[in-house]
Amino acid sequence: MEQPSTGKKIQYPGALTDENICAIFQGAGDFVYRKLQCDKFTLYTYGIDGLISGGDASDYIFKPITEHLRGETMASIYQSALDGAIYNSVASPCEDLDAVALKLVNGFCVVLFPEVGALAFEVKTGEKRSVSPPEVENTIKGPKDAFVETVRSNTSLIRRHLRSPDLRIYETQVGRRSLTNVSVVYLEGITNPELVARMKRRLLEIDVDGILSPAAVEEYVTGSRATAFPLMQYTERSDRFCHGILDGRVGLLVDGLPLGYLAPADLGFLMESPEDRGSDYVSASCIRVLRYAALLLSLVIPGFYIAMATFHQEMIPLPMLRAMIESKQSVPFSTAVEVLGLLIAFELLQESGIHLPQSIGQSVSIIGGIVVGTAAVEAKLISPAALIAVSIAGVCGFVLPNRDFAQAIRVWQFVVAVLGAIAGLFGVTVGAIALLIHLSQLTCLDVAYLAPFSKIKGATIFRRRLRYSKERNPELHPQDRRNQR
Amino acid sequence: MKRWSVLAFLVLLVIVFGDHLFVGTDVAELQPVEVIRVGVCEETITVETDTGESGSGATLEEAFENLKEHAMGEIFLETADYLIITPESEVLIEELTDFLRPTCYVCMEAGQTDMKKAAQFLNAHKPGKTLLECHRRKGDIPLLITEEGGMRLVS
Repeated sequence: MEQPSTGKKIQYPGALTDENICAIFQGAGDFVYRKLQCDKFTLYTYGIDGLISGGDASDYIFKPITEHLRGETMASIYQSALDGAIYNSVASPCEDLDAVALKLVNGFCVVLFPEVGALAFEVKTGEKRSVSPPEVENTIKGPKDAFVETVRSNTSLIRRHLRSPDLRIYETQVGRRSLTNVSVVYLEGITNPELVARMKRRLLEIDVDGILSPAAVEEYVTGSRATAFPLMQYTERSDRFCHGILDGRVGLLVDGLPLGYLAPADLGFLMESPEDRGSDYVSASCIRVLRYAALLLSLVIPGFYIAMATFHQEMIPLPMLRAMIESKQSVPFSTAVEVLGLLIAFELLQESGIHLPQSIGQSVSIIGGIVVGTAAVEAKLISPAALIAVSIAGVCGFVLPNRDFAQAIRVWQFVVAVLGAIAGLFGVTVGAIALLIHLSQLTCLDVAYLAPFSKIKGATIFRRRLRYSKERNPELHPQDRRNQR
Repeated sequence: MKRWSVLAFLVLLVIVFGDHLFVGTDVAELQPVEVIRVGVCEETITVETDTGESGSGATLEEAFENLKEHAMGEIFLETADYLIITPESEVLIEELTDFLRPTCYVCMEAGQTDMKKAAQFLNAHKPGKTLLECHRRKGDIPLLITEEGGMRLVS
């Protein structure tokens, strides 16, 4: 593992003295401070309550200091502590106030040896969420260990899946005030060094107060493009993350987020589901074809329905047209208003379901979807055909494995629907072409978003047999192109 | 800037020409026609539908225009499944292919036909001759005979 980099420093000028350290955390109620007598010398210890374990600090720092640490001068005591008299797995010298502050906010206990230096000992509290099964990316056969909010737990999960000594974890802090620990994960000898360098450079270029939310990570790392489409792939599954690393992609872990990010992301990666690797290639390929069909349906069905019902009735089979006309006779709204209104209602229902507790959210979905929907049809406020079209589009949207990608498709679904209402199938086609142009302009770490479709291989849509899938994705320019003999 | 100006220009084009380019009719406004009757009386062509609408004119085009103008809603001829003609209007078969679907069934009326009842009857007893076949002069047009309040189809 590479040595941690401190990244951007918090500027605290001044000498390494007790007064200056206390001044940094002045007013912080959780800042704990203690004076210890070691022979004839006075040492000072500092920590942040909640981040350090009081018991560990007592057993592995205070006790050795008072019982074992001896010396004629302060310098000899310092050296003795550094050499192991204070028995702790990590004893890191702090050269200035910045380093002391950084260690303290990361759960270290700092011991100040006046006029000589300071040592930071790791006594982090064990309070953290334990590894639990994934909540969103569930699989039937796959492993059940999902990422948690603690980056170190996540790196340990990765190490358990990828026991290669070539696994590299570059650590840095991002955010002037949040000092968020961010780790870049890759495999030496496989990942293109240019990708890694780009990722590191982007992280170093981030100069913001804090990087606490997933959107902040994605926007700052990818360069805040004017698009709804995700340019990084996230996953809560450690096995999926490791598959990405093995494929030659760069991983990103952010302390505080129970997610791992993989870059670059293209359409092919975003349409993959963890279940694909858990089933045989025939079933997985069939499901993938269905998924791509669902993507297409989700995007065009509302716009297509509006276009057909408003401009191209002659293209609708007669029995269906008669049924549509009959069902629309008493509806007071035009098809466009009806479908767009239903799309908005669908979005509102989803939004309410997210913000409410899970049990209530489900009830709201049932009430909104079934009860209100049925009542609206019976009251002839909406036609059953429009409800069916929007429902199919909604269900197809849920088939997409990446939520960010599904959201982007929902935004474009509105665009296509409006264009369909304005200009019929011509409008739908214009919308589809505009989307294609937009997607073809997107890149992530210089890999085109539509890269999987740049060559007609069929391998992107179908899951290839593993024994024939001998090469890594060439778009990623991996150092080692073959993944098996 | 250049991109925005192109976009603004396109939006302007849509606003200016949009109304003329893309005129749609909502499916709810359509009056779907199932049976249509075309007759000729004293050099005037009359068109009558099972929805109760009718129109007339010197030419077939004028008659259909008249029908659409006076109809409650938008007359939609694409749904017409059955065409009833009279012996006088048989000459209009070729012209009718421009207005109706070629797969529309054709029969010739004998006697006064009730359009509502005709729709029900023809749904149960398909005439078996389409507009396209009549246009190509393949066989005789079936007769729709109305007698004693009932209907009968004679091939």
